[in-house]
Amino acid sequence: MRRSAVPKGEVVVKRSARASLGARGEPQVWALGGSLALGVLMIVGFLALILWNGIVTFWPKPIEVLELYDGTVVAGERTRSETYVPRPDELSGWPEAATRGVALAGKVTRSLYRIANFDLYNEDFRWVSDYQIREQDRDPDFYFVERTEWGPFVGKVAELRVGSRTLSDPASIAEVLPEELEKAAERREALRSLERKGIGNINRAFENLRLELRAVALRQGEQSEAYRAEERGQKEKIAELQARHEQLAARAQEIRKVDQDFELVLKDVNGAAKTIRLSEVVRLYPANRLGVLGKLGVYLSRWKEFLVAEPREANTEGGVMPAIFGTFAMTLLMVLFVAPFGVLAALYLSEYAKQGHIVSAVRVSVNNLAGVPSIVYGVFGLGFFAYLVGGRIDQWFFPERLPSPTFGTGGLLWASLTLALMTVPVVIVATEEALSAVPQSMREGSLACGASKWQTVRHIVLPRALPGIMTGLILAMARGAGEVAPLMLVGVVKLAPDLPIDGVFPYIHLERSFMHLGFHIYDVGFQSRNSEAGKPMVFVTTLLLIAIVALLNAIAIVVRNRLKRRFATGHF
Amino acid sequence: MFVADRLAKRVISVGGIAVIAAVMGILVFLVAEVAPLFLGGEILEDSAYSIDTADRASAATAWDEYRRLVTLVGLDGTITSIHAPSGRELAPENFGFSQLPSAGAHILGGSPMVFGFPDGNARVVDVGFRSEVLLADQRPAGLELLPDGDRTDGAAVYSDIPGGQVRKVFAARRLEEPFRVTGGRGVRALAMSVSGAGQDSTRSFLALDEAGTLWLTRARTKKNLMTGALRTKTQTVELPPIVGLSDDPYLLLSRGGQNVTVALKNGTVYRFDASDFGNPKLAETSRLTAPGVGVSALGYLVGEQSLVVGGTDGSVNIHFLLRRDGAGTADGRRLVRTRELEPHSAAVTRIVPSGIDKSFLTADAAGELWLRHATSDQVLLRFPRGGDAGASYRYLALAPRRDGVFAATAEGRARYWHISVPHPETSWKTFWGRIWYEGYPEPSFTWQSSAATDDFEPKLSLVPLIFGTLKATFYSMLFAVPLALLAAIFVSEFMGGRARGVLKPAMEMMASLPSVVLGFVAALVLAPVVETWIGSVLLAFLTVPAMIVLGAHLWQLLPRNLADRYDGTAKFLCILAALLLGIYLAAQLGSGFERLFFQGSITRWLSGAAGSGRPFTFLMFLPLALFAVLAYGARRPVNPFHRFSKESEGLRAGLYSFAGLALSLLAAAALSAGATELLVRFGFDPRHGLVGTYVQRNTLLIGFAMGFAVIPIIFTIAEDALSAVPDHLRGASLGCGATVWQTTLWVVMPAAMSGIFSAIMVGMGRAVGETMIVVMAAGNTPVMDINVFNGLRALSANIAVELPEAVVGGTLYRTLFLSGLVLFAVTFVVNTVAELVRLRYRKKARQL
Repeated sequence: MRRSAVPKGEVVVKRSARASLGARGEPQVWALGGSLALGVLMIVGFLALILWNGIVTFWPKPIEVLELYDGTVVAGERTRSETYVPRPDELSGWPEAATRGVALAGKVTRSLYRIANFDLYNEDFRWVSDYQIREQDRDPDFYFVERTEWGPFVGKVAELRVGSRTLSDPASIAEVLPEELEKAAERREALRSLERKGIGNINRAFENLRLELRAVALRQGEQSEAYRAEERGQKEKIAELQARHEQLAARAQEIRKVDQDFELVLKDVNGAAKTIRLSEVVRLYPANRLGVLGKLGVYLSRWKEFLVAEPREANTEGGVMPAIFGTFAMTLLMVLFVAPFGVLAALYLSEYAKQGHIVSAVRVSVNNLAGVPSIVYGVFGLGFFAYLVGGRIDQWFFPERLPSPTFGTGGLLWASLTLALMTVPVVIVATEEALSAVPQSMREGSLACGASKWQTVRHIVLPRALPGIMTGLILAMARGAGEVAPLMLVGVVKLAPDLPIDGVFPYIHLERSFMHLGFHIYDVGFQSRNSEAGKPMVFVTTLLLIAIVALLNAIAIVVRNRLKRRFATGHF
Repeated sequence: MFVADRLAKRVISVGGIAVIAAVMGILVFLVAEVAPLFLGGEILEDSAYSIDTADRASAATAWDEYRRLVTLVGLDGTITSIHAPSGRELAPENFGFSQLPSAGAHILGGSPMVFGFPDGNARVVDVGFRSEVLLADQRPAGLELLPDGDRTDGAAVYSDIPGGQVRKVFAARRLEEPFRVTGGRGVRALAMSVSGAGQDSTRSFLALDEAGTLWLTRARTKKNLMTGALRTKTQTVELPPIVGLSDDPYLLLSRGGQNVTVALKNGTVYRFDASDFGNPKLAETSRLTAPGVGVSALGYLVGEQSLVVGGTDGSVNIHFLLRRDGAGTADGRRLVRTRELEPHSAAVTRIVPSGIDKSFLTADAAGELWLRHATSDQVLLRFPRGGDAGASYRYLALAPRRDGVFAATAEGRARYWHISVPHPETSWKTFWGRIWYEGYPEPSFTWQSSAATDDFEPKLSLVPLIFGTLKATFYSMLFAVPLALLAAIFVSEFMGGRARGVLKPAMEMMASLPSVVLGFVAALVLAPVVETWIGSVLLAFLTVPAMIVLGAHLWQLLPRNLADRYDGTAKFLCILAALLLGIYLAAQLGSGFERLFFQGSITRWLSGAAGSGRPFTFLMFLPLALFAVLAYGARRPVNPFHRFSKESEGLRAGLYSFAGLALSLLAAAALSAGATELLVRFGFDPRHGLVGTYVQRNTLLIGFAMGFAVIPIIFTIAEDALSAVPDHLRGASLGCGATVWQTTLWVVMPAAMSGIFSAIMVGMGRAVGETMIVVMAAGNTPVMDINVFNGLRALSANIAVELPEAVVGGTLYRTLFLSGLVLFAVTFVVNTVAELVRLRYRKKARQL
């Protein structure tokens, strides 16, 4: 735009008069353009990497059955390939051609196969060099079985035991299996809800009774009359709870007993048999027989599980619902804190405070606080909120629970307060900018019409500054949603079975620690048993997190444009 | 309305000030958490009383964990237990030896101790304490109430503890059977050490007999696997003779009895190496003090590696036993004076080490008593002398938890202090200076906050962490600043508004990309790729610029009208193609590059296994040399082709320019080769410094990943600054006949300089504090190594990794708060500078 302000022809004329090649600075311009190209390339490459890996992860892959030259047979999904330089001792079992090929190129292509069956092999993955393979095919009878324990299983379905019946011919198994799997899943769900909700609630009730008793003991002493009364009163309740507990346990036992009769006998590629209960199977499909529609079905069901289910297998499989929930809860709570306070501070700074050196110094400081590393806020949050304030709250309000902390450790409340503190400078700066963009003439006009200062602010200034304020808030949300470092200190955990909001009084549990998508990435990628097994999960989680952050950013941009248009008419 | 207005004003003012104060409060809170690290100790309680059994020669002073009972053991076998806070003496006891002991010794803390007798025997004695927690109603009735609320029955002390319970503390004695420690002559002096515990322990004894001969005894206790009974086997050897042991020497024995140290009062020290028990050797004879100064007190600190020497002139020095080349001793090790602490004004009389860290008490002849710490080299507390100034202390004990001091003079005047020294091991110097830690050959900057062993001393130097942060910042800025600035200039000066409209929000969105994602990609995706393709990655630093420059020179060959017609998207696509070609070439030629210059494998070459430093040095200097040649050429037209190119037009000019480039390259290659030759002659090898052994998670990777994180920030701010330069400046310049490039370089850039500087500072602030990327991709080893291919541990990552496990209020916890404070301060200063520059620039820009 600015270059075209000068007509092109004129420039050319000038150039031909004097401008030498050096004046055009072509190599320098190319260096500038090259930098931009490299930057764009990196960004595009990065996003493509995330997008591609995130999208294809759940697509079912065929199961390759490989017969190697050393006689072993391997079956698994191929995950990725690379070239490498083999060690001399590796070459011994390889055919003649391989030795020559290696000598020629120095490098060999190998592929990583997900051989699964961790309970049988003690490893999930295996590298196979291209030269090792004697024969390779895709046996249509192989199944990919996702289990609740031990990771997936790759092998054939040999037998299906349904009650007293034992089916072993593939056709009848295929006929009965889907229905039985559904029933087994129902049993699993029933058992889980019995254990988690039913028995979990009773245990919580027991714990509450114990705490109540202890509270009385702390308040009035163990010898007091109130304590004895409480003790007597609880006896009845305890008996009732115990009865209910036994009842539920009996029902669970019943389901388990039924469940025991439904078994699946799997055989791996070498014929080793593994019997699992049908209810342990999360998903099962004949990988090499699936058509595109079948694959799509598996793909979608995996996405569904990812979005709505809880994690299993040390977070490397299953879903991330608690993490999504935690991320949203924390971010929303953070906005609840940051919005009023940030706007209040900005209003004070730009509308009410007497402008001078002190205010501009404060402004510079606030601006800088936006650049203070997030981990510093985490340190502060841990020391101040969790240990100091939380410790006090525990002493005053929850003495019966000590020494196990209630608020005196990281939790949802402290995490969102910490992030609110971290993002409040961002909101202040954005709001101030928006306020100062409202023309002074409008304020003066309003005041001249007899409106008071607050009326002016309320009816003239704030509406016009709203787009800027909203943008600032949403950007703060985007930053909060993607931040991990401070959260590691103030309340994010790798596995929080209880959501911060549930059906148990008082319904919102601000003191509970929670899961977070960003921390989930760090945890699965770096803290789990096998980072290779968790990698697909990490990619999908990454995709989800980036999508959320990008969505928030996009909303910010849209909101800004929308509101700008709505209020643009007021300008003089 | 009026009310609403007043209310609004009140609410907004109070709320606004409160929010700002809260944000500022962070700094205050951090400082308050950190401050105790730099404070010494304080005396919480001070009581003085007199005791009447103090006139006996002291053999040992022991104290229980709860600071209730102090036991004074006299050399005559008498035992006096005193309730330390009040001075109430409990019922006296006596071991009732058949003959009076002639010597006594104890280990750190006073128990167990050993008595030596005139018949050459020794007996080990336990003078420790037991404690029990009782319910309140289990406390016996009719106890005597002591002034501080404790009760006693004359043998045990009962104290109330929280939770309505009572703790009973009482002394527990055990006398073991005598055994022989000399050849038969009477024992004149003794030393003792214990290693291991219970079923598998070794006690060592060093005895000096009346004839001046030294004897080393080892008593090994082992559990019989069959019967389960404990059996003790005792062996005694005679040490090589030393002349002049007439005067009472100081005897010291290290754990396991492997090092025997005998120091004379005149300062001479004899060290025996008894690692081969059957054949002890005199390993070293040297002096512990300056000539003319004698030794008046000697002791090991806990861990038995630091030897504290108190001199007759009041000096207090620490010696380590270190392996030294050319030590001139039998075992290649030497006693090295590693620290000279603040001296007393009179001769040091006693040294009492703490059992939990490197603190110790020193008392001098003038009655001064100091608590100090060896590693942090500071005097933590100077105890007031009160009424009995001038007299030195005979009985001296430091409470096992280092929270109390008991001192009594021979006249019986006793003092009890309850003290609190929360962080003795830290001082300004331990965080920022080189510290000579035990077992280290020299002073060093070390960060090691925890270890598996018990007598481990935390090493909390922040220097390696700050080094790591700076290293990571430096390399990421090296990658990001040129890329981001050049790209910003291109976008603002050479691209149309539409492209800007797309690129700007895209970059802004990239700026809010969660860094955990970048860290994950860097560590799990990029790291293995870079490791495999390291040759290509390094080669790309050459081929990509080469292709860009080549492309530019080819473009110059285009006829002017064509070049102008395609000046825009088409040219940008050509640039992109040149870039991709450079990357492709690097990928293809990578292995050939490794074979040609690095014997086939860069990683092997880097570890120093093969090849010389020559090729790398040459390649490293090549860009510098080219830069030097071009810079020189710009001043003085030495390159004839450049001159020709200036004077001619069209295709010919382009060809001359090409030839000029070739000539410059040749000159640069010659210059670089010459410099390399020269440096290699002098033994320069880049592998000892800038590069070295390849680690998978390394600084190069951090440079890429963190660079990627800060590029959008620098880009956006710099682009803002550039496009804020008023258009009339550009118009004027172009109108005067300057080209776009000339306008950019000489008009736009100077006007936007402060904004660009501010962009760099803000980017740097972000890089300094970035956490997740360094946690995940930097390897987290706290080494100080400038090697690009080694990992690092940054301040921020260190906090994230260690704070969740740190004990609240502990030294590590506060030290991590200090690191947080450092980060806060650094980024605050960097951002303030950026902000001030930006404000000044804004003022200037308005004047334009």
